[in-house]
Amino acid sequence: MSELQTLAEMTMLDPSKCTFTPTDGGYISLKYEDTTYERIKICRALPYKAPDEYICLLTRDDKEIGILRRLNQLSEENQKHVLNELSKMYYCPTVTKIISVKDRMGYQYYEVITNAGKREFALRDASRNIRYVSPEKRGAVQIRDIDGNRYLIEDFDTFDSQSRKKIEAFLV
Amino acid sequence: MSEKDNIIEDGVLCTSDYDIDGNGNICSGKTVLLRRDGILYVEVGKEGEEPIHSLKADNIKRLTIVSNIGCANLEADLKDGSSVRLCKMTQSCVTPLSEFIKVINYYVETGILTEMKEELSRCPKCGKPFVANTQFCINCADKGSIVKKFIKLGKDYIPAFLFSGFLVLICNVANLLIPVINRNLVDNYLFPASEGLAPWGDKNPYLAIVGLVLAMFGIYVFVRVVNIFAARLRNKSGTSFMNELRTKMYEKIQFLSMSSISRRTTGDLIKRVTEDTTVIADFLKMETAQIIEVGVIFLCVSIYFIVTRPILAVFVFLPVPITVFAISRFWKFIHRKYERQWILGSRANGILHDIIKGIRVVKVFGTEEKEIKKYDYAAKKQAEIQAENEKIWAILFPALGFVVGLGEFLVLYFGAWAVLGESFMGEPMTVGELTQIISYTGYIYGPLRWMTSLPRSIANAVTSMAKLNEILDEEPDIKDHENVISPEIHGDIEFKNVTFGYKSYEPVLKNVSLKINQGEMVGIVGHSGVGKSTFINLVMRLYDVNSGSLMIDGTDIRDIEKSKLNNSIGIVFQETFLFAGSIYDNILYAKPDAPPEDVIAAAKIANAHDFIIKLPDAYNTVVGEHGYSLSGGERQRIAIARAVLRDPKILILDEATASLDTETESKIQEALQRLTEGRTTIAIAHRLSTLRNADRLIVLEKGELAEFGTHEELLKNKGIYYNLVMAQRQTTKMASVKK
Repeated sequence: MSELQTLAEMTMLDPSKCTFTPTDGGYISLKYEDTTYERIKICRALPYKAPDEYICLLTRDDKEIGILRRLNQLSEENQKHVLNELSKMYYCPTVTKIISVKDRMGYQYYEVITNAGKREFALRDASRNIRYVSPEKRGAVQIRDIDGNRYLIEDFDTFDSQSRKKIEAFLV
Repeated sequence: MSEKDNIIEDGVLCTSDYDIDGNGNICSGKTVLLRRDGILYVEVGKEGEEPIHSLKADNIKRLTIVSNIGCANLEADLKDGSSVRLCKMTQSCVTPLSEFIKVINYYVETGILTEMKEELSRCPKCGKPFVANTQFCINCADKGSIVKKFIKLGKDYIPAFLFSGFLVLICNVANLLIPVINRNLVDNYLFPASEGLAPWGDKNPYLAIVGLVLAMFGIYVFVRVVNIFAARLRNKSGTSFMNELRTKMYEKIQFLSMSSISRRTTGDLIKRVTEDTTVIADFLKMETAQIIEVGVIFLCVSIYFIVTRPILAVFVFLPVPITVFAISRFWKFIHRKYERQWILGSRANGILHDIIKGIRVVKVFGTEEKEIKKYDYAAKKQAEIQAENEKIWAILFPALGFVVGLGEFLVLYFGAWAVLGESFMGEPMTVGELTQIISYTGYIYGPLRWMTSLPRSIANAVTSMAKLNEILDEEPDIKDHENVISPEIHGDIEFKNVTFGYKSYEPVLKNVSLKINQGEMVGIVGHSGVGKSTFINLVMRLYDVNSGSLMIDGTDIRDIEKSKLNNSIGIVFQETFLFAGSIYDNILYAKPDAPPEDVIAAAKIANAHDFIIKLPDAYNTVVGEHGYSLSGGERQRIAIARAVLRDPKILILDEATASLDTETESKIQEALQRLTEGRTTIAIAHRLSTLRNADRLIVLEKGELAEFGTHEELLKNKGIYYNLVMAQRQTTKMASVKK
């Protein structure tokens, strides 16, 4: 551990000592060493760069229990529970096809097919709300609609070419 | 209860939608509040299927919507202490669903069932989402009704616009005469002359020619002059209408309650007042005249063609749809290209702005090279697209000219046949007639480009109207009811089971009950976000409580006349806002009829007088934007002077000294000490030393009243306050050791 990490009192959790259990109400609890934390919160520190690494675990009152370096260090059973909880906290369907884009007075109405089904949404200011996730301007593209929902195009370079044409003008 | 009553009573009371199922797929789920066998249930499940969750409403303690990333969960806290996640939804469902849980939470708290307020996020007609925080669907809105409303608003300006429209009409009819004269000139004088014919006998042809040319010139001048007059008239009334709209909007915004104002961003409101009114005014100034002009030309020319040359009319009008299509495609394409160029340009500018503004950071980290590269790249990209756009423009624009010219070309071609006497073209045509027809064709094709952009500008104007309308139509939700009283306010404040949240499904203050006595100084402490500012917002009645009541001198705050209440409360914020104007005006703002003696006295009490008179312009020093810049402590003392002048019975200090250094703070504390005497004072402060003069302290924790008592009592309790004091002592000690 670097000096910085010691200074920050950063707790990197030992994956072998973590046991996650789903609760009846649909939450998740953690037993770490000898302590059980009920209804913990889980969040990603680097949701785009490394969605399955640096997973922060917090107690119900937002006190940090520690950070999990890598999700795949957990047992399969535990991984499943954590991913299930994460799926409740994060929602960002992947767009596989853009059916239509309609301009109406500065707003754009989208009709898209996602891995979660067909969606219709509106956005304004397309060049701000459709953008590359990484600063290198390659790869994944995120779309944010006026309600605050998010959609992801996993890799713009291999995205359906007809769909790509519809929005590439906004990606700058 | 008879069986029949039971049937009437049972059934669905209200429902709302959610849209993500357990596997993360889009679904159409419903949350339902229903009564079965006389018992209320909250049920959650997919439409037409057995519910996934079914809870007795009486077992529920509270429903909450927990916002996550890109989605939200509906969760229920039950009375037995457990919690359940009921369903998951996209952000689009949150607003309507929050109305649903409001009904249930209200029922749980009070046992009273209320009607659910329909709050839609999507247009019920077309299913498309609403935009720009409105309940207005631009996709299928009834534009007519909105326009009608605006016509009513602008009824004083209608005569001016009608008159201007009439003038435009005359101008255009006159304009149509020019080709007629031209034809006369060609057929009766120029053509015969070039053929060596002289049908005019002994009359002097030159006189006639000069007469015709002068007539053309006269029409030309007339049209210009009248047009200028009409445009001025339109501009004048358009601008006045805009100003009137702005004033109306501004007035309305002033009277709206904080809750409807804070629902929108400041930027949004400013945009509505400035930009949307401009859009409407511009539309009235520019487009209305064009609409009349094009309408008149189209009508007259069409009639002319159909009556005189029906075959040619076919050739004139046949290419119109093609041309319109070509033009609209061209502009859409080029518009996108230019938008892209614009975005890249503004991005490059943004980088430059960042670098220059953050030059200290760049220097400290030694990243000049990296920043140069970043800007280089952005600038290069912009240059590339600019070059590309210019090339496209250079190629496409002439091509477009060709398409637009197609109609004229056809007319010329077939017109020439007619001149040569081809029988299928009908009556033989003179050269003069051909020139006239060609001119008219030009008249028709000229405004086609404008026409393709017309739907968009109409739509823009209507959207702006809708946005303004929404504000103008809104009823302020905090206003005096009919039977308000205006008592002398002494300053007793009592919270009785007050619950309040900015979004009613997220309560910030929960069931707070306490009494602050007249003349007492009370401090509010607690971590950030526990509801301290909310507490004072309620005392100032910027918002009304959701449940419970807030009493001032034993009277419900909602029964006290608002202006009376406002006049009895003074406030000093952490960030003082000084209006552009003199220091004197800024102090006087609190009480416009105060004599100068009082203003100076107030400044003295606030410890401000001394520094003010040292300024070259003393009390007349202009402050605010573009004015003399005062230090934080100086501004704060002016704010205190403002509060002093008002002589309020209730004084609120919201982190009044937080941003100041200790020395300045002690000066201001001294001023405040004088000010708080004999007044009910509520002070918020993070620095606990600021509250050392407080008679009692309120400790808030997670929106609830955790502790309330004197400094000594709370220390003895060893609760939250004790811990806060200890923590701050620790840091003070550390600070003094470091020194």
